[in-house]
Amino acid sequence: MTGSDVAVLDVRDVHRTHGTGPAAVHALRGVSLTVGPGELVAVMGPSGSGKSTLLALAGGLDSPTAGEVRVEGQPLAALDRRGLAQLRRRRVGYIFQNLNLLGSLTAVENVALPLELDGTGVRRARAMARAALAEVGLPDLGDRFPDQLSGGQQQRVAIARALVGERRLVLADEPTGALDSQTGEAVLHLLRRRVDAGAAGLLVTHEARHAGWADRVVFLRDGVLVDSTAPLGSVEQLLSGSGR
Amino acid sequence: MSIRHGLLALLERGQMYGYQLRAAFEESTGSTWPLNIGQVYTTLSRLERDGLVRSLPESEAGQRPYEITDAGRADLALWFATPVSRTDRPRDELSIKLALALTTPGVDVRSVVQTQRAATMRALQELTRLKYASDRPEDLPWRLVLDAMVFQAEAEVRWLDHCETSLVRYRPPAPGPQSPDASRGAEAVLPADEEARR
Amino acid sequence: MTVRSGGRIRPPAGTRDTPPTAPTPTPLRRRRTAELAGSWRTALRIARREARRARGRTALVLAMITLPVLVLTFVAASYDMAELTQEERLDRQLGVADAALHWVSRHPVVQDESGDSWSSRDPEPSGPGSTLTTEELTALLGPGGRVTGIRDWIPVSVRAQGRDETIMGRALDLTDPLALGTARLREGRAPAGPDEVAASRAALRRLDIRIGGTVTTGDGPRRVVGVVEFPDNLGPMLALHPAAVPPVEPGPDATWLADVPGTVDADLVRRLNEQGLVVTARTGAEDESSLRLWPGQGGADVNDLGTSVLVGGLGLLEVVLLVGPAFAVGVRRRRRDLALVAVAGGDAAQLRRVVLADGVVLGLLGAAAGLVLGVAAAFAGRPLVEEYVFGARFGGYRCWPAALVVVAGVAVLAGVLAALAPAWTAARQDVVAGLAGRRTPPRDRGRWLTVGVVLAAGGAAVAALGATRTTPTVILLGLILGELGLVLCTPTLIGLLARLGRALPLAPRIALRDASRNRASAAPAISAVMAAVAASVALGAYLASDAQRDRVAYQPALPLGNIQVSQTQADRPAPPLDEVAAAARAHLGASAVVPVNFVDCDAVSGPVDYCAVEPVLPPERACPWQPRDGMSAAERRLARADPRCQLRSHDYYGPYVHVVVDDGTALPLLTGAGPAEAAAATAVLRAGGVVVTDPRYLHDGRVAVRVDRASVGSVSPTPPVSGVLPGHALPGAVGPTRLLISPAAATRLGLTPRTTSWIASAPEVPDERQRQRFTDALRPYGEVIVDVESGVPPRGSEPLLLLLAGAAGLVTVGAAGIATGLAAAEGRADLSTLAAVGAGPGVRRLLALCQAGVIAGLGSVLGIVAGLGTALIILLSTNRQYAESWPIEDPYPLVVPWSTLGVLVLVPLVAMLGAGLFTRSRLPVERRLD
Repeated sequence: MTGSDVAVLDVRDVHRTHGTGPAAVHALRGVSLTVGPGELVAVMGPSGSGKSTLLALAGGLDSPTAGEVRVEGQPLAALDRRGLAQLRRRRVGYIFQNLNLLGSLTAVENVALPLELDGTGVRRARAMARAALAEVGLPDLGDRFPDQLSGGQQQRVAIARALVGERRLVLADEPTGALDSQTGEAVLHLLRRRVDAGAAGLLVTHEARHAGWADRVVFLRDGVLVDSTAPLGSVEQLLSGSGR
Repeated sequence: MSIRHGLLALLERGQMYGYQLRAAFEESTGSTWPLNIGQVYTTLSRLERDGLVRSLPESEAGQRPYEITDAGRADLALWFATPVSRTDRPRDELSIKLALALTTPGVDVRSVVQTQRAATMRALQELTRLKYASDRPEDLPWRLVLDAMVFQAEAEVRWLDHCETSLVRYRPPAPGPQSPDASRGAEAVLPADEEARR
Repeated sequence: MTVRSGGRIRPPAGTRDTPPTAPTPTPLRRRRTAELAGSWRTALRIARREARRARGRTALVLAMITLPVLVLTFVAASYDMAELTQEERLDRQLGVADAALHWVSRHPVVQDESGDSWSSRDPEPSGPGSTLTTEELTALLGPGGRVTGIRDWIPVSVRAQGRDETIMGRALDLTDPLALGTARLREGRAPAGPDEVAASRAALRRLDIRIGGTVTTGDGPRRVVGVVEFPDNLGPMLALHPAAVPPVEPGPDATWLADVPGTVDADLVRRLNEQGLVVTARTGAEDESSLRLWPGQGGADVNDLGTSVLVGGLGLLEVVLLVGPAFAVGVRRRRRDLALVAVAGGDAAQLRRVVLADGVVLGLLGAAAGLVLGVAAAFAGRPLVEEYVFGARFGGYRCWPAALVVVAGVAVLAGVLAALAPAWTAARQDVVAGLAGRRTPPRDRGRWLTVGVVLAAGGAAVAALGATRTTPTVILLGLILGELGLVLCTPTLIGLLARLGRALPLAPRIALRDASRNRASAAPAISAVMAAVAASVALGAYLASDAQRDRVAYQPALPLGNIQVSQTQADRPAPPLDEVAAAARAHLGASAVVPVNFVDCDAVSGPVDYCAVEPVLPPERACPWQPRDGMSAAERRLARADPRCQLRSHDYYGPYVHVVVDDGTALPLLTGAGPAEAAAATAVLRAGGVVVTDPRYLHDGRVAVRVDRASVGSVSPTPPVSGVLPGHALPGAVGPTRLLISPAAATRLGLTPRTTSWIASAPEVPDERQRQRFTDALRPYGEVIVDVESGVPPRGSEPLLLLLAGAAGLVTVGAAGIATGLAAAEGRADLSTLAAVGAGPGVRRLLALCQAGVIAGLGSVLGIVAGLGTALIILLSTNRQYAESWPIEDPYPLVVPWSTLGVLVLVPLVAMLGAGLFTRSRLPVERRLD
């Protein structure tokens, strides 16, 4: 199932319409996209272009009106809500722009959340969470509550949570939106590193600079993929020109 | 910006000869600005002529080192203190190209925009990749140069995005007496775009 | 934002440019007023909009303020309608008549204006007095006058459908329009003769008969010919024909309604007073101010007033605690708005005002809605309330504006008080954090904890003091203070618990931490539950203890299961023993039936007027103290220490000794003595001695008995006869202290035995039906009373306790529901995050369940502890006081009210389950089309 030839995320001709009749809003109109292991794909587009809908569909938080979404070959339409929840606990990690963490839980508890929900023992879940926090550079702040962390630290905790365990697909929705450029860059750096280690990533952003971290950038406009860059070539190409 | 001031800045560190200067220049600009040795010597002789550098006796290996003069130091300080003016930069070919594309009949402006955006985006990705690969502390000057290019590329992508959005909303002037042909040409492209969007 | 600024939110016109160093104080004051008005105007506008925007929360708050207002308004309006005005009272009493004449005395009287008070005119009335017939009365009124007699409060023993009932009868001639004016004939016709009656609807229901049916009264069968309604008494009533009752005697029940030619004037009143008649009329009587014995009925009892104010205060506290969370959540959701007001130049007072305005607006709305609904409900429910609550028709449609204003005021006060704490928090919040949407973490305010602990301890002390003085007002005051103290301690407690919750599973951990983080809303909800539960548990514990104490103190009158049959009519011949025994055997399964003989004094010189027989206590055994008020503590201590004075105030039968003439036959059934004891006692009786159940009367094997008597008409009482008789003591006897005199001893003392009752011993306590059949069997011999000793009577307090527990449970469920709902509204973002990290659909349910559990469970536990503590304090204080009282009072046992506790432990579980069931399990971010 999880062989390297299978795309981690496979979105096929997906449509998503909210409402019916004249009031219908077409959020996505026939979008197809695949993300393989070790690949970070950025989705760019202005607000209202359907970026977040695409992400919600990929994580099973929403279901398409038409078309199919597969995660590691598993069609999401075949899963009930319980199955989708399990999918999010085990295979998909989410990072939002804000409101990422439960205010009532400490950083470690937040990171351990999907593991605990999945039935991992508290002790083991916390140990894994501490390791994940150390990986994102927050080894000492595990017992703080989100209120006591800066925005960048909170976002790093969210990344740790999205990656804890054996997540194969990381979905990030404007993860750097509320952060300054340096902190945002650090967050993307972390994301990139995890993808290079074998995960698949889908990054939704409207900032080209952040999309630059991706292997491939697709442009979404009014629910349609209008353009995409080819997979990245060699570094030498860069040195021949001056950015054009 | 000039090679002049670049060489002066390098000589400020100490005396150097031509090949050394070229290597140091490329190192500190991260090879984004390759120089040939001819350029180095031409520039050095002009600097000597203006009294900003002074040539020293040739070494045994036949290399002639240069050192900076006081006048050169003053010039260098002035250069660092003076901001770079926008008008000093070369005219932007891309904007001129787009303006022309829009008024030339039979050109798919959106595809021009998209091609350009994909290219710039790609450059941006590459720059980011380079930056990602160099995270040693001593790489900072190099990373800042890359950042300059990243931000420029980002600005360009944003501008192209903006152009694309504007094109979607663009309604060519109603067919008037002056240039009916041109208008029709533009119309021929744009309704197709509208179609594609739906 | 501490900068005082001239109302920068909305600078009132003309005040903006006044320099801060205004030279004269007047414009400054005017400026302040304008500033105040302006900021209140703004605050009220914001509050109005906010109320419209947050519909659910508004509805919640409104419901909680409206409900009590509605109930109070309903009660106030109903009460006011039931209170008749003077005019309505007269109308009801007189109907179409001009005057009501009450024959109160055979001698002349003087009366006051209303006829409510009267007194004999002559201090020492002499002579037999006058009699009065209807004809004489009519003559007194003058030509054209007419009267009709009405007699009230005639108990009628009625037998219908095989059951005996006693129903109040009123004898009046309903065919006379004069009398009909005080009643309403609903159906049928008026009784035309002594063998016909009319009945009220309630009487028909009670007797289970219809018009045309027959009821049997003591004087024979009567036919029910009509349905009558007396507006002043909607209970079971019979309207009898005047001819069916014996002729009238003077007394408060003998009344005539009079149609007077012309008007009732002072002269006529005087003439009627001369005959012992008191006149109630619309006009005419002169005011005898000296007769106003109770001018204006005096003021209300201060103690009662204090108690009702405190109970009302407790209710207010409850409403405040329930509404408070909603405001706290409102403030939290508007953190940013409030910070913006601060940025715009609002100072702390103005920020407070914005939140307080919420309370004002919702309090006003709730009060208005409650008043309107309450008055409407009172008007609409009038017939039912008249019939089932007051048992009398109302005077008219009206409400009680003064009371309603007070109720509305209290409602607004509740709103403002509930908004007070959130307002304070709002004014204190960090503006920068508020703008950033961040929350300032709650700080434990040691000051409040200290105040709370001090209050709780002080309240307990005050309550204990009140208990020793037995002043309910002081007890209640102490309890309220203590409760307030606990309310202040709750936030700290929650904080502590949240810290301990680290090891809990996910959902309870989140719920506990949420409660701790949102202390502003969780603490009042928990406090509300605590207050309700504590009150219920405290009362439950007290009543349970009281019941237990009564049980312990209960003294049976007869051995358990024995039946005493007494004849009530002394003039009828007693049923023969055989008949009684046969009936008892047939209907009660009785094994033994014996007659019980009471004593009469021999008629030595004319009929006996007074006859008292009692054993005499040897002087050295008599207690030297008499129970009286104002005994000093030292005297009481001496009395308590005196072995002769072990007098218990709970001795049901008092020091009075029951005297029976018996030869030993009734002794075992009467006293429950065992065979050996009974044999010994019987031997003494056979030998002409006496038996006492209190050994103190036995001195050297003898008992002194004294007989006091007085004959009718004799001027001086006959000197008492005493006899010292051989005696025997039966210390373990059941029932009151008895003296059993042998027939021989009775003769010696000049006493005659008279059989008035029988005692039967049944194998088991007979039930109601057996008793009824037994009574029926003895009916030919007149009315009899059957007393069955069935052990400790059940207490009526159990339903009350359950009702209380139910009310507390309702508050618990309500508070838990409110808190859970608010937490759910607050935690939408958290739920989205949970969904995104893969929480299953049940997690939300579990979370709601735990949130409700935290509120309801914590509140219940605290409440039970507080309630038991309260009961403990009160009972112990009372016991300490009782330990020094004389006559000796039994102490209150410490009893755990298990039934109340059972209900209150169950309720949080119900609340949790309810929260779990009623919460939609779908997480907000999941948008599936299915």
